[in-house]
Amino acid sequence: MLDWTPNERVKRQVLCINPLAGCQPLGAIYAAMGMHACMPHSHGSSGCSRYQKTMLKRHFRQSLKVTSSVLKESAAIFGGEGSLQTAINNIFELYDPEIIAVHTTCLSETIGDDIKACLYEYPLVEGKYLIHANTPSYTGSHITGFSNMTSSAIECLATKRVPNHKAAILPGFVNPGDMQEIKRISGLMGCGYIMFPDTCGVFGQRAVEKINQYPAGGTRAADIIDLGNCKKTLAFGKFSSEAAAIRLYNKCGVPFELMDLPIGIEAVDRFVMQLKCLSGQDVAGELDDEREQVIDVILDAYPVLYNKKVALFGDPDIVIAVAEFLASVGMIPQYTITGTPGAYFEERMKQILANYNMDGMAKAPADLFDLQQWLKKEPVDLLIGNTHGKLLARAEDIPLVRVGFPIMDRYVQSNMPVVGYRGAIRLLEMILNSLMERMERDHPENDLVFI
Amino acid sequence: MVLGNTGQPGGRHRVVTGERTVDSLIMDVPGILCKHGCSYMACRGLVLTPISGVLIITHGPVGCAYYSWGGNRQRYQPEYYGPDYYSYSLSTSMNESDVIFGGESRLKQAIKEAVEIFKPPVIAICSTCPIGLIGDDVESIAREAEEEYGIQVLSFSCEGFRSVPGYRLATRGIMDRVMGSGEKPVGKYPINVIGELYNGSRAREITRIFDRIGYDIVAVLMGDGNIDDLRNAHKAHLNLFTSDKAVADLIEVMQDRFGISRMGFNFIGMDNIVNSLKNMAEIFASPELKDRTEALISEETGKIKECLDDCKNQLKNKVAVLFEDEFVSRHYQALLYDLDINPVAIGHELICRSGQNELSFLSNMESNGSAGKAYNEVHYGTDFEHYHISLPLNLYDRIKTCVEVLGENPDASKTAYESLLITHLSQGQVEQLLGIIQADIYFPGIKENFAGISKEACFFKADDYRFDYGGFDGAVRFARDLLMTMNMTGWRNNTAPWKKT
Repeated sequence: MLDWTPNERVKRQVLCINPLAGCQPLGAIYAAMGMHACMPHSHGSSGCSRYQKTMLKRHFRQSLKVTSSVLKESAAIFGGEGSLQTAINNIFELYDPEIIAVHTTCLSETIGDDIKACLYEYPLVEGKYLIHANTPSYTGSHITGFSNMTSSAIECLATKRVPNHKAAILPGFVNPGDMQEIKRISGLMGCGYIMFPDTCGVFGQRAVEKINQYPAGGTRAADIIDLGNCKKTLAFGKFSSEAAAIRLYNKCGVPFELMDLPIGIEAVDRFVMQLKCLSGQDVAGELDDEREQVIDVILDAYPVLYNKKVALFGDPDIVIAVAEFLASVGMIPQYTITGTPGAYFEERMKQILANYNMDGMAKAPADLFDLQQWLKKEPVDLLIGNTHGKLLARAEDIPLVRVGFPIMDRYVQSNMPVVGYRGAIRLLEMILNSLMERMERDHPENDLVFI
Repeated sequence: MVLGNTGQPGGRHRVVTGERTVDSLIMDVPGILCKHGCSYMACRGLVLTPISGVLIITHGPVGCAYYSWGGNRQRYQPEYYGPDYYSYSLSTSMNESDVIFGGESRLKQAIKEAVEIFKPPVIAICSTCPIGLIGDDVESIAREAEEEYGIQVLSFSCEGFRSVPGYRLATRGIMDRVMGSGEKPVGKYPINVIGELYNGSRAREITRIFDRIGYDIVAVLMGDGNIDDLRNAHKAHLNLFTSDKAVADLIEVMQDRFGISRMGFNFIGMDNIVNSLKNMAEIFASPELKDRTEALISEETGKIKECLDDCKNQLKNKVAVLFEDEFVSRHYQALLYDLDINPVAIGHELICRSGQNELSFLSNMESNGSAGKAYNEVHYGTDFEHYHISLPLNLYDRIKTCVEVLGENPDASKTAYESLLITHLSQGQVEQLLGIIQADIYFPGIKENFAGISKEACFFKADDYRFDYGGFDGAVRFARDLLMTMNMTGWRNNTAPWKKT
């Protein structure tokens, strides 16, 4: 397994081996899933939507609906705008969604279809919405696509009218479990909020009652429009939420606070302090207790955690937030890589490492081949990342803790949070279990004790 | 089993759609929920990935290589001692400037780097959508690379928007460039196994059975194969194909070119296996093969008989409803038949007649599929009688397709076994039907299209790691999994007590 990776560092200019990031439409579909009664529509060939659907299906263990323009040769020559018109007509007629979220693919972007003009002319019935985002697959990654789709939705829908004194929460590309936890914390702090996108209650539902019934979850169109009236935007993750927050500021003048994902202790503290400012309430006792519990676990377990080296890979926002958490519990984020391009990743990682006086390597964009070569030179104690690191974990014999997207080989993952203080405890549990299981496996038999 | 309202238990029945016009048969309607893949998906995932010893480079943006990395079919062939690259996914990872100025230099550089790192004997380049549009000359780059590095470089222009199926492009490429170049001697009864949908445990089972009877498997395509064996594929005397649609034209051309006779082969369901093995022995017309085949069949069936009988007892009088696409349905039907269960099949996906191939439909059906026509050398007529197509149910309502019950026309049904095949039902009709049938178990492959499935009934879900039910053991594995579903205690708590009426 992964036997061909040489020990000597190979210089590569173009070849990407074992990529860490998908293409933009994947993120665009996920963002569209976070809107209520929304049908994501892929303006491209049929294979694109199928691949992305499969990926999301494996992660959430639930099949989802994505329509496609099914572009063929004729579209490549004459353009696919006609197909898009037909598709929109068909979707409204057959599946009756409230929102259709159209995203492009590398095919339609290379053809140069002007989807904006095409959709602008469409005669919409009241209460139905069309959203479109340009998501060419040859720039950015699925995180960029997610960001593009959320900001497009805001651009198309959000309108400023009467202030509603709520906070707009842009959670970033995280699991439904995480969104649930962010909502719970906001609720505990007495802060009214609109979360967008919101995939709670979208996955994990059993068969629906009627054929064209959409799951109960998701941000409703009225709420997305209402985003323009919010008091402040809390945007989590520079890569997945900043663009949307800026768009909301430019369009409706809602000031925003850009934060790391609330993973670990410090990031959650910052989040809670923001909520405290917004609502003017004291921190709820429940949250206080939860924080105490995390601190307690860390104090109990620090001999296991201290100076353990970790390699982190996955989506940039999650990697940054987890890396900060690891540093704050005494572990060293030795290697941090992400597949999404962007100079901010390395800058932020440098900041975090400098803040904790640690050394480490960060690279964006990078692939798992890079990471394996680093590991061959100097191994680490633990891998934290998505399912694609499975082969690496086996080849280099390092335990893997699964955090991020996609996690296709474990159950329940997407329902459980890694954000908030509860998420921190869960992360700590996973990390400690992996480290201790590994330690016990390697421990001499005559030395094995119960404690 | 219960046969709905057709009134003839045990007979062959089916519910068919009424009038249909050619308009309603257009395959890809924009805006419908389609499950179709693309040319790249089939070319890389179906044909190339399972071939050990080939290094695949995806030329295009990074997404396609990311999604096609590590599918179900990607398994390692431990007995192959050549280089194996199954755990790698390579991409030229094009960016915006490459799409504007052309990706040829990028591809050249990528090949250079791949050769330096992996030293592969064979490289396959698969192109994705943008390549066909920006017009990179992948073929000539492949030729240059062949000369420069002294290795074989295959190029496949399997852009996702093409209506030529990818498996066709890939198998044609392999036939032209790979087959016929090997000189390894073969055994007395040499065969090729060609077919999709098998891998891992079924490949092992096939190898075991054929080895015992005395066949020599020369090459395997779309299974657990490797490139060195494929070079000798022309030396086989018989092509066994286990798939209906994907390989129809390949085996035909192989027959023309190399004179290899062909035989359909089904490794799922006891009857199918036994018949297939007997037919094979007939084709080679060798008494020793016949004897050994008979001996093997009686031994293997004897081995699992007790276990199967036990399962049959437990599953007596159960009613199964299949909500699967046609290909999977056919497999499950055969397996259920072994357990004396007569399934009701509700088909919703594309159905092809055995031996027919998707492309012939496409060239007939597609109003604008000119490239499809150019590629299509073998013409099949479209069998409108058995031609079904995946369209959402309410679209069928819209085009006023009526459903009627045909009770007295047994020959019209070409379903493998006496069962009910129902296609193109409206939501209401499905609910009505399910009310009549009262099924014990559902196979929910296309469940999301039918809201009528009762939450109370249990549905079948195969474990991802032991999904395959091929071979003699497969029947037992299937029975075991079926019992697992029926006996699963979780169904009891499906409905909350406060919701029960």
